[in-house]
Amino acid sequence: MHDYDYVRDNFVGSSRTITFVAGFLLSSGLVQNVSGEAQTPAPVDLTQASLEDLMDITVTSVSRKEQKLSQAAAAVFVITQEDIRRSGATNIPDVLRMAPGVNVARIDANTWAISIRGFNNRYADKILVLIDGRSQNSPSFSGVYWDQINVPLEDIDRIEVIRGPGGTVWGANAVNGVINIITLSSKATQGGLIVAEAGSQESRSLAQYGGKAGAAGTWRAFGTYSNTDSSINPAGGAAADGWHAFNGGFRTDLQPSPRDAVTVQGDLYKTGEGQTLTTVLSGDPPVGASLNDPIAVGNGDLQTRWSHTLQNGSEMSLNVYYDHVNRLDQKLLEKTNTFNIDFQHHLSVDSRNDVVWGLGYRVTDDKMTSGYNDVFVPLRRTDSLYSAFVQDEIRLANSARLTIGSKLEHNAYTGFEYEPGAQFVWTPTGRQTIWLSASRAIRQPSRQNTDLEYDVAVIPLQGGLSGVETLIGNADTQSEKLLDYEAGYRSQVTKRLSLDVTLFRSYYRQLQTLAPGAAFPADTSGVPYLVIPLYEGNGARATTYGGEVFATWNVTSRWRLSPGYSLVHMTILSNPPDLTADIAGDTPKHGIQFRSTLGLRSNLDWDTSIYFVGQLSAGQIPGYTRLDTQLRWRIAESAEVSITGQNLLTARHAEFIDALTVDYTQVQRSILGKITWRF
Amino acid sequence: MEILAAALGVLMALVTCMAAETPGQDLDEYQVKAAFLYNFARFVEWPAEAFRGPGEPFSICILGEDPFGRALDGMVAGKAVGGRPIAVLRISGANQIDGCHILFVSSPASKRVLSILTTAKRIGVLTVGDAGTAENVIIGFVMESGKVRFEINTAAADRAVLHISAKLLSLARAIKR
Repeated sequence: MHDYDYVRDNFVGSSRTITFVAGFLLSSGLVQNVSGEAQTPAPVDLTQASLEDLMDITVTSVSRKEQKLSQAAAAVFVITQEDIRRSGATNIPDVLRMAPGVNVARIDANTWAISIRGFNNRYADKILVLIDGRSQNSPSFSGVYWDQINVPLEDIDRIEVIRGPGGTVWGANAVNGVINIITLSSKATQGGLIVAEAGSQESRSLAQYGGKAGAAGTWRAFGTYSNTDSSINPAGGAAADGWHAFNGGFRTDLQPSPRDAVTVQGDLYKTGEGQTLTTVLSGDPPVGASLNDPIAVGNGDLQTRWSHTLQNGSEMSLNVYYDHVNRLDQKLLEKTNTFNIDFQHHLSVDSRNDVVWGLGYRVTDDKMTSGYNDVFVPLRRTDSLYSAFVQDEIRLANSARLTIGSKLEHNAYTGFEYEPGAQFVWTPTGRQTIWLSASRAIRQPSRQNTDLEYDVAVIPLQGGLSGVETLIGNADTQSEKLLDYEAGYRSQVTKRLSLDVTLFRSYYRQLQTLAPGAAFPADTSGVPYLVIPLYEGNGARATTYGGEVFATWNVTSRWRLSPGYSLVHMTILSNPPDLTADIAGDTPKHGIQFRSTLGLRSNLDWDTSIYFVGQLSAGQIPGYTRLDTQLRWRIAESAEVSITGQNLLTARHAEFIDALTVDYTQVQRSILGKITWRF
Repeated sequence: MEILAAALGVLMALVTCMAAETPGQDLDEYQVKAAFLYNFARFVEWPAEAFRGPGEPFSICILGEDPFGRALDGMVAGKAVGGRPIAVLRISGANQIDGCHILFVSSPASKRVLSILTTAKRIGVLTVGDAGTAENVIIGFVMESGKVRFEINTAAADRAVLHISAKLLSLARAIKR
């Protein structure tokens, strides 16, 4: 599957991943092997050379390269459109389950906790999520509202999942990984597309049409509506987490000249959602409460990307977007406007040096109201982020490349930050790749670290007095920092079997902590109560190690098995009295997955995936096994039908407990039918 | 710091080792790729309707950016395929695809141009990409350790009614069906 994917190319240069040093795995014996590689003398007239001879000639390549996935010096997993189709998934979080090392857990029908290599919780803030280069991380908490990530699955070209830091190119927040959702060019979605699916839990419909715009341009426009039923709460009763979403958007791809490509795209997104909260109602005095609460989202974005190829072959690109988020959640109305501009230039300096550099500017402007139990001080804030990066890929030899680079950023919270990285990749044979990387990444503080006052719980104290645990932001919050070392090996073991192994060791410093302070009487004229402050700080360190292994085995030309395994082991160190409970988040130590895609006949596929997820919350969420299976029948060129069963092994199970406020619900067994018609 | 120093040391040693590898008489990538194009013409069978008449030359078209320079022209000058002289054409749009037998699309322009191909006449046009195969790219070059390899998309070849010889298939780095 991965053989056909290229890690580079789409504008953001996104996938020009990080890099660092390190050579410890390479014994001198292996190196000998490289230098001893035979070089066939070139025949004078190449047309007289046999194909075999041609294939043996080592060439110098000065052209810019599409970086092939198999040669990428980072832990990359690419989910293709075909993988998405064959997964039967109806939303992006479920699609991400197939990437080893990604922790996906559903909290309720519209809320997920998703991270990579640990630190998972609802507000997981150590991964960066991009859609066509637009950051999806909320400036208020660094994390991602997954209910707002609603690209029609049919329009996704691929999702590149990079495990491990990507700060050198992507900047702050690309700490534990990057999820890069890349949509199809409108050229690839010409004509009409109607999708209708309905099942025991949800329904979804998509209408899309793509046409020509001028001589070399294309466009598409789509509208999609989805509706998800409420699920079951832990007690077995009906929950209030049902939701619906409408998404409409367009994309135009123009080619004003053979050297220029311009993409303009935009989306409008609206939801109505429900949730049950167990929270504090701040007031005089604050009281604990459990209530059903509506979420309403009204977002919009507009983006232009322009890439230009110069006469000398170097490429320049410009990415400009505006993004508006309007979210009512837990009574807090958050309005965020983001304007972002990135410039990037990719050039081959000489036959050995391939350089990418770029500049970026982002301004976010948000306006909040106070919620049930929280308030941001100040309520309105405008911040600028300036960034620059440079990365040089140096060809040391035909089979070895070293990439070094760094990002330099200036953010409103901590000022200058740098995120260097180096990676070394060695392809001793065409079938094997060994890579090593070392890099530094940071998570810059967000509003919730510096500006938030949040009543966590009401605690009855002696003498009829009550205490309110209150989280208090710290304006001096520092960035969380990571030093990460990785090694990877990829091999096309045989024509039918490929293997990918990654090992990592990560050192985190200045992780966010909460330190209880001395209680003080609340400043109130009503019923007196005590405030038990929890001060935000950077009091913890952590080390993690682990790895991911996955393989693709084409048993026959129509049957493929893809097993995968991931391990993450975490050690948290902190200085009392810092509370560390939330730092580690909740991450299963082991994850096992197994996917089978089988072509029963040329127009009939039967695909199955099994995921095993280890226990969480010290056993409160037991380990579970998820089994999804799908039968897909292509009736004609233009039409296909499928039937999908999800979570087939158990009637229902819980996946994650949100430590803060949102009541978790259970994922139910479900069945879903789908019709796809292209015209 | 010690780890860094050690890593740097190993790296230096590596670089020294690598430098010992003689670049030798490396050929330009596109000289070799040009020779591959010539060979593709020999190891692929075109349907009769791909040619308008017995005298029509065998046309290798380069769409968009031309990375070959004069290498391709020089190589095929005076050569013939199936008794037909070889012509090299540089074209800029889909409307000029008619009459092409091999259509080479370089990268990264390929990504943009590829979809032109979806609308273009498919029968009898062997599309060759510079970055692996794709939906409408029948043969895609890939680089491996500084060597030119290729992948074949047999489904696309079938759609174009081209018969790819077993020899070519056996040498393909990957076959996509």
